[in-house]
Amino acid sequence: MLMPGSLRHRLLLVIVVLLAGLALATALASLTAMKQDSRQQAHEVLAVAANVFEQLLDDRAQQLGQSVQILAADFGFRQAVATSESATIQSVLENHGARIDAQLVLLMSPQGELLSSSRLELDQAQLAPLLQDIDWRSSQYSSLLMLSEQAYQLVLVPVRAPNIIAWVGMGFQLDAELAMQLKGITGLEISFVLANERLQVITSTLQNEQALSIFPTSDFLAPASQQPVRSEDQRYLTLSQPLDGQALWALLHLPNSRWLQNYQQMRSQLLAIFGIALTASLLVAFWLGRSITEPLAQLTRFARQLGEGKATSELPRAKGEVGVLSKTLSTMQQQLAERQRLLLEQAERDALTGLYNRAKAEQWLGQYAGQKSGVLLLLNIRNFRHLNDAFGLETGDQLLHRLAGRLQQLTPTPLLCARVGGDEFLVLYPELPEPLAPILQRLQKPFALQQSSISLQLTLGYYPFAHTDPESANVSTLLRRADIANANAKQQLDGIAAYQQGQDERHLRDLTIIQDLPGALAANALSVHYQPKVLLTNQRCEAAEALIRWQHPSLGFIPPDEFIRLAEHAGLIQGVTDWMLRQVIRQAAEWHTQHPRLRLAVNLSPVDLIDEQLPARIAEELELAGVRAEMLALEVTEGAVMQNPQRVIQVLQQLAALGIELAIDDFGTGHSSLAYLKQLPVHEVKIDRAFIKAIEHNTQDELIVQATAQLAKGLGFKVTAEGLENEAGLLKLTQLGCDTVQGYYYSRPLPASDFANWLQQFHSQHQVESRERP
Amino acid sequence: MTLSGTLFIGTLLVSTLIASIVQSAAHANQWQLQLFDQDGKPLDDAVVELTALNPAQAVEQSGPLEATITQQRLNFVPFVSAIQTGTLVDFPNLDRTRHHVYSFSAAKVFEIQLYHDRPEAPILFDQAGIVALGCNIHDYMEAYLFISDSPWLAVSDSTGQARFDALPAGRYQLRFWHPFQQAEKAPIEISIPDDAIPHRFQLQIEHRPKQPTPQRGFGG
Repeated sequence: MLMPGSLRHRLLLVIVVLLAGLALATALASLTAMKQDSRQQAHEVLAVAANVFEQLLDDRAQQLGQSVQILAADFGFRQAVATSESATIQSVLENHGARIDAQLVLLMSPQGELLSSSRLELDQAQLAPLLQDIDWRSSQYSSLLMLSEQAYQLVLVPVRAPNIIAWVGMGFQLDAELAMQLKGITGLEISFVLANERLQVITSTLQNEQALSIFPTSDFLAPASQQPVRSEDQRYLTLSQPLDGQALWALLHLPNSRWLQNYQQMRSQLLAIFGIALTASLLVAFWLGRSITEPLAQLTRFARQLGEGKATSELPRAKGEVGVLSKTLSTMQQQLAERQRLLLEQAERDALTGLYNRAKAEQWLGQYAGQKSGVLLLLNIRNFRHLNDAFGLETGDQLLHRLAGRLQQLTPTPLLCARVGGDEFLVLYPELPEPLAPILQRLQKPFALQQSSISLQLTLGYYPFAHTDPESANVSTLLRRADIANANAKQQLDGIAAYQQGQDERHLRDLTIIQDLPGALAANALSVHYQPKVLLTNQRCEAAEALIRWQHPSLGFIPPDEFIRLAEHAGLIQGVTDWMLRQVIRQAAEWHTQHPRLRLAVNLSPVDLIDEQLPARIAEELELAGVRAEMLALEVTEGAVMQNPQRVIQVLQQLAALGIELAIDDFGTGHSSLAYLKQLPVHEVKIDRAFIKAIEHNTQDELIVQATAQLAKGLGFKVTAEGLENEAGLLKLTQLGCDTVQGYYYSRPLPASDFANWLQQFHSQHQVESRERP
Repeated sequence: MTLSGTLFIGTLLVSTLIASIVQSAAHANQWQLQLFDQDGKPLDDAVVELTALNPAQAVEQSGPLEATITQQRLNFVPFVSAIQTGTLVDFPNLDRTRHHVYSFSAAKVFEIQLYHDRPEAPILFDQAGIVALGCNIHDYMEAYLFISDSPWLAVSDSTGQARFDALPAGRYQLRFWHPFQQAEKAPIEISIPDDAIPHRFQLQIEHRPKQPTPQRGFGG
């Protein structure tokens, strides 16, 4: 896990950089010192060699001088020189020069005139520099000089007889032999060079070309500089020694390799030490980094696992900072666990009562119901909202708290107690505790609160379930059924009821209807059917009742009673009524030209009648469709009026004021108050089909219809009979004074187009009849 | 004193005697010179030669001329001798070692091979000139002979004085010579007797040890 930027990485980097820097600096300093030292040594070697070289030349001069002196002291030689003529002298010189291997022999007068020479090319002019320098009083003089292109070490000795009668000079060439001899003693390569316009190698222990190639120019032959010069190819360090003070030089070459070798050996040793030290320190750094980062990695792993809520791995046991961090993390883990436990409790528990909340109850139940059977008890406080209103929310909360306490202390002890709603509690028993009434009574005992005692009225719905029932696996089903049971219980005086088989399915059907209705209205998925109302006096149909029909895609045909009732409960009735009115008014507008006197009746729900906005909406709708109010009729039930007579009458009056004809529907079935009846702005009374359908057989019905018709007529209402099924009934109704009849005898409710056809057909038929019947 | 020593002294006495006879025979003019070197120090070993410019002044040769240069304590004595041409010079050896006297000078080339005591015969110097004497055995030994045709010769002594006792009156050419002279002094003419002639002369010489100390390593 060596990622860039990691602690370990940086640690390694720092150590390596530091060490490398240190080692490099040390090596550099050492090498520089060594190099300087080596150079110094080389210079010293050269300086010593130069001294030796000088000494050697002096010694040689001395030795040669002695040889020459011995020669010059030879009586015969002196005699020859003193007395002989030049030809003899010439041969004497050659002869004696050969004795000591002198390559040059010359004879000069005491005044410096060249008397004779073994080399004929030599003349007086060439000796001029020599003569300037010579000390005539000395017994011996030696010099290095160039004579006729040759470098000589020349030794001059006076010839005495006994006064100085001549100087005899013997010259010894600076040749390869000498160079080799000098090399043997000094250990250096020796070159003799002549530096005029260009450098000329006289002799050298090096290859002459090599000596020339090392020093192509004579610039370095500065007499002042006693510093050795490095050759261009770095192979030699050369010290130049002037020989004759002019152009003749001796060069002492110290091979660079000699001292470089030491230096290079030292350098490679240093490099090796450096490499080994660096490797070792890298290993140490690696180990050190690991010992630091490994616990950190462990901590990181621990923290990650902690974050993910997994089981944590072991923490590193370490001292120092890592140890503190370990301890801190460990503490943190415990605190986290504690907080998580608290959070879980809060998530599971109801804060007010301390019981499980709905979510936890569902979870618990889900686990239980899959394996065991049991009974769910759903308790609800009747009119708890009123209690809250009356005593305040605080008291309400106290009551809930106290009730929860009682639930937990129930005998037998429930498996589960939970608060699943504001005033709803769920209790689970493995089997139904019989009887239930005492339990409820215990729970309903008055609570002593605020110096007063308050007793709660509870409802208890229960639902026993078997774990073998596949439906039990669904917790929401269980709870819904308990809820249904509780709803049942609300209907019971003792407040106890069980879930009835099938209730759930009805409940679900109702739910489906309620859920689907708004969508169906919006999509115009409902339809309107029309049932004709026929005037008995002239057998004409001038009115029809509009009836809503709903063909549900999955439930099939849904009776209007069913979904209207549900719509009323669900608060959807206004939507249904508005839809219906809109449809009918449009239909009226459509039929207006063809059937100008046709009046279409719409049923209103009791809920509609307390809607004070309704008259205005209807008026607007009529105006929008361009339909006269006379073409619309509204039917209301007796019961609807009775619930809130004042308000209903007010709404009805507004509707009547618009010019809409109003009818009392299902007259005779409700608890009508005749007192109100007279106040109603109603034009028509419709006698319920219960009295009509068997009127030809039932004399009681006949009486009721007769009395009702008479009463209505007396009050100025038109009378309509619903549910006429046969001709016998028609005759009766005609006799009993009904104005209008509606029923299957004439036609069942028809879709709009069919109704239009029917109307056409009916009228043409009866026109024929009326024409036929004068 | 050895026999040779006695003889030598005897010879000297005889010579002096002869000289006094000559002087007495002449007109007995005496002339003494003082010689200095360039530093003003008395100069010894300087030869003074007077050459008569007047043939009348010539003196008859009275008997054979002889001179002696001894080898004594490994040195020639005297260092400088001035002799007239035709003088026989004897080279007696007073040292215990042998000597080998030679001259390669043009005026007289000779050598007396290794000898002891006294050479077989004296050497005749019959030609004017300067002769440098050396010893082949002892290189440092040197002596000079100034050989002149004139009989009037003197060598300055250690006080720088040279003296002529019986000079005939007349005109002379005066010439100086010294073995270490740097340049020869131009000869001058003088008259004898003449009160006006100078007595003091200065020569340019090269200073060097005249006679190196003999080496005595072998008990000489």
